[in-house]
Amino acid sequence: MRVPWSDPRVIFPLVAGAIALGLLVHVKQPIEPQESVVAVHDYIQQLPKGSAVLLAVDFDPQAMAELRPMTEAIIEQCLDQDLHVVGMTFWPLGAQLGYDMFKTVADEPRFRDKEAGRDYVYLGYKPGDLSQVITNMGENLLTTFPQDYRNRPTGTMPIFRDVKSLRNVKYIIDLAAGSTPDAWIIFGGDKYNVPMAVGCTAISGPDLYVRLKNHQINGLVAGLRGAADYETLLQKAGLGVGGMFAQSLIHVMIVLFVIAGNVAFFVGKRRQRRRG
Amino acid sequence: MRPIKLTIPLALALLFGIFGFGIQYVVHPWAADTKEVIALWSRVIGGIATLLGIYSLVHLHMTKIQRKQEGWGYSLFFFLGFLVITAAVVYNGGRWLLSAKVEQSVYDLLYEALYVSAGATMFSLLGFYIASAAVRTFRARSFEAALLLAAAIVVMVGQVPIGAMISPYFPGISEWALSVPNMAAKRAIMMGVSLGAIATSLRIIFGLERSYLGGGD
Amino acid sequence: MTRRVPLLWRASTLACALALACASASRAAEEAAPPAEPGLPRPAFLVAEPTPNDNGTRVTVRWPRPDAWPEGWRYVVYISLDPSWRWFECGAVGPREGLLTSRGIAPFYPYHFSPGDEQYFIVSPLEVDDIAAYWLPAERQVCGWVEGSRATLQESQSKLAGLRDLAGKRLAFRAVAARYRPGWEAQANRAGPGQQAAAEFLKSTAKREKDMGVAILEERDSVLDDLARYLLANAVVSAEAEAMLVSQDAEDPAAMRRDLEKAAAALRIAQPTAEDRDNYDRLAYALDLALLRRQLGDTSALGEDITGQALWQLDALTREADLPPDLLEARARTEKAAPAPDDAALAAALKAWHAALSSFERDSSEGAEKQWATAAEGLERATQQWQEGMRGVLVSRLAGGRLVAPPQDCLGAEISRLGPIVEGCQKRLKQMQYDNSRRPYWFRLGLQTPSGERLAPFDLTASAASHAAVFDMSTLVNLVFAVGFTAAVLFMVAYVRHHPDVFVRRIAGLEAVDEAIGRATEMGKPVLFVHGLTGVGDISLLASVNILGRLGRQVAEYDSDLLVANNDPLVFSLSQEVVQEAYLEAGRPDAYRPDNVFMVASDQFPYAAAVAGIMSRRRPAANFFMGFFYAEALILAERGAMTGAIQIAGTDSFTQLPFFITTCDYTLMGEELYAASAYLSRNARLLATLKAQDMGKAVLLASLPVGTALCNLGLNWVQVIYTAYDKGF
Repeated sequence: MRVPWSDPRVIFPLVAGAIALGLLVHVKQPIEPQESVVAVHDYIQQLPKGSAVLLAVDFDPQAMAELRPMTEAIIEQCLDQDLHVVGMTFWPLGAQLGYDMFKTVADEPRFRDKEAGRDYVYLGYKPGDLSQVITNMGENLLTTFPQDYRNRPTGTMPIFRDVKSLRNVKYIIDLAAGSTPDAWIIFGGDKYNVPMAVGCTAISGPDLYVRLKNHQINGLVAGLRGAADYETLLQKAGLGVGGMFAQSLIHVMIVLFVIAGNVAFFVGKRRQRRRG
Repeated sequence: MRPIKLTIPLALALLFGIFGFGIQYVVHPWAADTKEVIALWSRVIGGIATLLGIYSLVHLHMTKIQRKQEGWGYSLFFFLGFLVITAAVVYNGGRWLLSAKVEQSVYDLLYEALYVSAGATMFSLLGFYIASAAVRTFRARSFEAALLLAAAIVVMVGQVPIGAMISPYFPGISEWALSVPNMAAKRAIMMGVSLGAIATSLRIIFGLERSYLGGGD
Repeated sequence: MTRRVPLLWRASTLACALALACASASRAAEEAAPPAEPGLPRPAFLVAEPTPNDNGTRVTVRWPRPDAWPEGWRYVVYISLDPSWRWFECGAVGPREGLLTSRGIAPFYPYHFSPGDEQYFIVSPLEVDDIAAYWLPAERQVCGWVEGSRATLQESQSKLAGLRDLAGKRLAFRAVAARYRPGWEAQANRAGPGQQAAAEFLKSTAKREKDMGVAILEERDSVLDDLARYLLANAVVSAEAEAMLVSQDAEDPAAMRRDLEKAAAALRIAQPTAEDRDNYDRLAYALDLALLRRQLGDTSALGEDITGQALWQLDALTREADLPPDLLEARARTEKAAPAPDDAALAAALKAWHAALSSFERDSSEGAEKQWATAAEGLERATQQWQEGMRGVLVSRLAGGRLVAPPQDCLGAEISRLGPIVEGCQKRLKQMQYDNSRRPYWFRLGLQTPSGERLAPFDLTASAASHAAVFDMSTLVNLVFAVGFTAAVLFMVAYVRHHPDVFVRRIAGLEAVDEAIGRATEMGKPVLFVHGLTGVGDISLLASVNILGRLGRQVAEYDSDLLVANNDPLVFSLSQEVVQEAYLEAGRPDAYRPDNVFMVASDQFPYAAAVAGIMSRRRPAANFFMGFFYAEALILAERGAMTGAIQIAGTDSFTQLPFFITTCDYTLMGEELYAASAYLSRNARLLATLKAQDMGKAVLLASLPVGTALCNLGLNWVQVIYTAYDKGF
């Protein structure tokens, strides 16, 4: 039996409608943060003031919807904790995006006293083979990035007074839409003994569970759900939390579609068997 | 012609293959310096190849327009986008190309208004396609398919807050499904893929596999 | 009988006497010895050795781990160039820090499988901060000045650009304010409800204008500070070269290099003397200064050009900003008068610093340390005074006017010129550091109490020089696995020469390739091949290119069209070549159309959009997705499914497999992608490599239950071997 709702002309508008409804109508849902997300939050929480955290914002606008909320939440938490945040990226089209995120957070009124070059810095895009660049960063950050994204020399920046290489960094967080976490884990975290966490799209989450279970990373923030969990831990109502109702709606809708499709499939089969 | 097209490339593949393999086990600083030089070469080659890519794109679309082939109008958009972005980058808010990038210039406007929006839109298509693919193909035709279906439903519901509202077991089962059977399957596939990748590499290094050169076996 | 008793009596008496003597001796010893110290014991030995499998920059210190470890106590590791010189602390090691050796299988690599139970600590001498400040201080200082001068010029350049923006914004603001001011002034003078608001607005506008003016002047002063710092850097380097190269043949760097090489060779012998070390340091530094003096050239003329340009720009921008005279006067009044920069004082401070450093290197007394700290402060003061004096000179020149527009951009040219000079200086410093790191160092241990107090170190020293290993022995297991697998592959390839009949299980996706191409030919529609998103460095791309070659031949034979959409320029070149050759091999060179292999987009979603568009318009009858895919996989596969094409996918991307399985007719999972080329060719030698893969898998599969069983019995050999494969010994 042909199920009319399996036609894309029916499904697509229903999906669009559900998402629109979910975004327009605000329904508060209880969000229980996942353990892997709590681990990242708690680790940052216990870092002493002035510790350096490296944020590799390895994504471009396509993955922005999932990764931007968690990136901004992490930057906020780090600045709240008076940690020093160093940002960079291996994605050329994400360079401007990374700068925008840092600027958006730093422009908030409560971070007025935070200064670029002293409390945070965005180094921009670095081309080259990942393993080689990360190894160079592990030996000397300043020669790898002699200037930041705004072409200001890094040698004279106060933030780099005590941070000369990855060895001086207390936490590396790779916010990745691609396969950069593997290189960061092997050549960054493992090689220089720096604890690592990864933020990724929901689709890459299952891939990175292996790393989490092998203790190669101590936390994982996956997808919009991960971003929502992080915002919940920070008691912030951001884009992550805001998208949860829409996500819940759409997931339930797809499940109902699938169940309906199967019911129709089995009913059709039975009818066919009766006829035949 | 044969030595140039076949023998020399195969010899180079063997030489660099064995060299690249061996250098991984050398810890002397010379090895790190050599790897850096090789990485530099590949960046240079990649840079030159980018020009080839641009040439190919321009040639393809130009030919389409010249011959008025089907869909030639879309090719005009390629040139429009290419020229507008290039002009915005070169103009650089009045400072021109050799100065530091100006903030809030036309390029930033185009990037945020066009590229970011278009990219996010394309990514969002996945949501629609997943829905239509799920509806069309998730049928419990066999035991394995039914198992796949059940796992998909549990994980999908467990990953959103509504799952915990429906039943407190959903998140736990979903987490278990992701961290136990999913990981076991991934590890198994990884083992096979790793061996396959090594075997393919060895075939290329020892010249057993020559299709990439365009020649026969 | 009578004789035995005296013997026995004598023997027992002797025994008792001996016992008494021993007892009293030990009591005496106990009374004489100091009471047992709390804390950690003196180690029985201390060993220093070059860190195994290292690139020649680290040394390892080992000592036996004590049986008991009182709470809060730590061992402290000290390092020195010579036992008679100054000692520096490397680090403090607690019970769970430092690296512990453990008992295991035969001592292959000393740290994890040592027969003893030791604690060890790896030292990278030049990363110990105190040592870094002590060793090569002059060299670091000069390199820092040269780097700093370039950085300062870059800051000036960006600040000048920022000033231009500020001036422009101020002018624009004034223009807008001027347009509306008459209206607001009128309202402020008229009694009414809006009077106060108008007055407030006028006040805030005036304040804003003033603040912008102040910001411009602050930025201007900051540029003046930068210029003064740049000129100071040049002055310091010149003074240093003048002082240090008096007795050197400063005009012949080639000869200096030869001498330096000889000195470096002398360092590499087993026990270089202190004179050898000093000689090397002196020659390396002299060469660096000679080269810098030559490269930086006569900086007075150059500095004048740069200063002239910057001052002219500052003057022009300040005029452009049209600042009110009272603001300029108020700013000028805040300028402190400073004496002119004194080159002689700077040179004297540098000389005193060097003299204090020489004493400090040899004299470990507090006096010498204080003297060096005083000299360092003196140098800091001298540089500060010189900089302030130079700033004063620049301010006077700026105020004096009569500045001339520069003929060219000297600032930008100097920044570019300094680039390679800075790199050369950094490279030489790195070489000096590397040569220094291969010197012998001395180590000793001390104790840290729970309250953080350092106790006197033990009288136990050890010495070692780091040494660059060639082969990393800790990766031996990895090498054995790699060579073993390679041997298996080569063995199977040789084996099939005599046994060409190789059985490979049926792979449905690959069996369907013919059917797919045939279908496309019948329908008169093209075949679409999509590589995935990786570049030529990825093995999955090479596997997909191999498949493309075979597909291309079949498509050529069937006289169909093959469209190949590429997203990487290198892959595009490769694909063109492969497809062209495939058509040639099939005897159909005329059928090859270069436009069918094309570059689409280098970014993920533009690529997906373009390929989806091609599918919608060209409606290929068969789609092949071979390679590594990311999120675009579902878009491509679903789009293809909607057009009704037969789809065969092959990927090693674990996360995309479910999407391909649900949307494609056939899917090659993981290693099947790598087997595809061999499968399609049916070449015995290629199929033999699949057999070798199976052998490898058999080894892995066998080691899983065996290793698990052994672990449960407390034997972790298999676990150790696989850990060593991954992380090394």
